[in-house]
Amino acid sequence: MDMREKAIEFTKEKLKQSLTPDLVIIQYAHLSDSLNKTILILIKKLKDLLQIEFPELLDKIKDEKKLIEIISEKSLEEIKQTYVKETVGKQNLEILKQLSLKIQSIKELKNQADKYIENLLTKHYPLLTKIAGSYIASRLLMQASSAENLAKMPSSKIQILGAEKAFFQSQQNQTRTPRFGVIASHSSISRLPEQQKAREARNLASAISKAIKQDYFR
Amino acid sequence: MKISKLTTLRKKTELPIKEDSKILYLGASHGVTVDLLSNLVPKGHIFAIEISPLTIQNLLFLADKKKNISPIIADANKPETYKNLITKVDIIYQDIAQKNQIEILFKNLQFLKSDGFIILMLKLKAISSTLPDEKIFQKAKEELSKKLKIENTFIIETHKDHVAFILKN
Repeated sequence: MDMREKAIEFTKEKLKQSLTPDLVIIQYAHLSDSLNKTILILIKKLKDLLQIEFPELLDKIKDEKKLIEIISEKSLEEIKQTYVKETVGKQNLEILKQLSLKIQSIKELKNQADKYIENLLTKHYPLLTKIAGSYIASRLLMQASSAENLAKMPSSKIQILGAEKAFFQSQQNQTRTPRFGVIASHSSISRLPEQQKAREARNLASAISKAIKQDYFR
Repeated sequence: MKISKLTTLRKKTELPIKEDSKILYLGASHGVTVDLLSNLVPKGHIFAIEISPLTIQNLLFLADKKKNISPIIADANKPETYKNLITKVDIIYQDIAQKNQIEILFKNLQFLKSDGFIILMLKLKAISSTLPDEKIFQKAKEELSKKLKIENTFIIETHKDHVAFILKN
């Protein structure tokens, strides 16, 4: 059927157009999020198991990164020599060594994904990335579900993007609206004292709104 | 594994789908039900409309194997965008969980032949999440009977909050 080929061609053409950079960024940001979740779960399990096998090491070294490095690189004898002489634990570190190696490799993968996201962002949305940073920029795109939506949003909506639940609760209970959503973790907001945060959030949101409009309608 | 809504409906009643029927499928998604329907109409044709670019990829791969499917990426709300890609059809099958499901069906009635019929899978909770099911059902029935004849209705137990309508022009 001639018409069928026409339809397939039309669909393939549309499909190519629809794979825009913002869609790619959003998908990779989802990947980065779930990798981060996985890392946190695995670190918690590692600590739980270490409490059975070697509780003294957990007590002595508080830094998680250093703990993972020590377990993955050093043998039981070396750990005993350098850090803790005696222990009440079972002293079997075979599986924990494998686990900490896995955690390290997942962390590496997450860094790769983040770098890819950052490259795409600086290429396609340079102003937004400059103002918001790659982390917040990707989360904003994720919440808005596309760059077009984000570009057409008023800055007041960008300000509370990511705090939808709190916003609708405030509408129901007639209480005060949330001051910020995902932009809360921006360095210009988080360093300020509590009373000044809301004003800075408003300023930042308006700056972001201008930036994405310039980037998108270039 | 989940069964298709069409399978559940076919167990309850005999649908007048012929070998050479032409079908307009709104809301094709990954194409599980489209695959089933394409086996039922070996000499006919299926126009499968789907809006999401990521889900339609599976449908494109399916269309490579089955020659009687034409996948179209379009919004069922805007029939004018795919008007010149399809012909008049014998059957409209709609499975879209949107608030304006019935309105979408009315917009697409222009493609139906005068003796054609419609299978409508209505998701009640998509129309209103707060009203009781019975009330939504009655309202939908009223709205549908303004333009169409309701032949029969069936409750789809395998899927939550779904009712199947068999309608005629």
